[in-house]
Amino acid sequence: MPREQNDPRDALFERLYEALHEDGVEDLAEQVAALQRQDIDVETTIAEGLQLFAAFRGQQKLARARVRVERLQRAVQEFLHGTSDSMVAARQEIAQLLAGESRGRLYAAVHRKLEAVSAEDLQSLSDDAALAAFLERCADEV
Amino acid sequence: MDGFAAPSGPAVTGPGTADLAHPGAGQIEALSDADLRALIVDLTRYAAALIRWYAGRLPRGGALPFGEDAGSLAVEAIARVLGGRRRPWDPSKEPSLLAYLKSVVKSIFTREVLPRAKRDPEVSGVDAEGNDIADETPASTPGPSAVDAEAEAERVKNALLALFDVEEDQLVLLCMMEEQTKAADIAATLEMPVRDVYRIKQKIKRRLETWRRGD
Repeated sequence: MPREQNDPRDALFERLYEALHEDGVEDLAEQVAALQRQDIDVETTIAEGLQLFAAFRGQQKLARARVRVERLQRAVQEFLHGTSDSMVAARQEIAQLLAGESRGRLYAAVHRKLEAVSAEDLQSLSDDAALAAFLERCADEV
Repeated sequence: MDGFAAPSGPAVTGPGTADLAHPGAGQIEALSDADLRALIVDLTRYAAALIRWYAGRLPRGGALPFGEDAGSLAVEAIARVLGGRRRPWDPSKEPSLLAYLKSVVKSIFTREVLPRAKRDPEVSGVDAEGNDIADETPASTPGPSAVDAEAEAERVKNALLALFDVEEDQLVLLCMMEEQTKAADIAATLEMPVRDVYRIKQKIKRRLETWRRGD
């Protein structure tokens, strides 16, 4: 709960508000009805708020996907230029990056497929379209 | 600023910056639509209470300028936090997203809406054709001193207490205004059953829903 240290009137407001809403278990429908009695268009407010949160989720997923792709591209380049310690380690890292947050069957499928991929084929995975197609083939195996 | 900008989507985050830009992103994404509905309603309710509290400083009987209301204030706060126009929510500093959004609502209201409302000329009447007559007297006056603020806080407390005739209602309200927010603590202080305190709190809440400071 925000605290206003300087203005006693604001402090009084915050204390009263916190005291009156202590439980936080009031029925949502009653809360909505109380706001509607004050002529507040609650449904529009909820819809707009949900839309903002949905857009935020989409942006975050996109940002994480971008990070993953960049790391993947770096891992592929490091492998191809011989800066990875071993082919095995490189495949593991690439499989982790491709599988994203999954550590289960998708990861296993990606790893299996990578074992059969040559160095030249691996380089082609830095292309977004080829990468997407590769992942789709892996997902089909899951 | 003519009201808030229409709610806009979140700013595009640059590559590799998702978690850094929004440390609380994971927790926000984990919220269900039901959680979000409850949060939005809670935030709107807070905004509505804030507007009622400050009604005495608003012209036009407490209505906000430019058609704004508690709902638009709540949505604006969410838009600014998610869209990067405000410091993003950091759960390590403020564990509650709702509490953080409330602080943003309050900041927008006290630093933008109230000053804007004071700059608008007050309506002092209507002319023969029913058009508003603007009050041309300057709206800005020096802010109250600390002593004035204390005195006004006391006046508000007395005004609130005067809304209730039953002594035990007044005692519960007094406890809430004097730092005791939990029903259990108030019950212990007043030696009342906790369920009675909850009942009285609900009564006080319903009464305050229709009260505006200055009434």
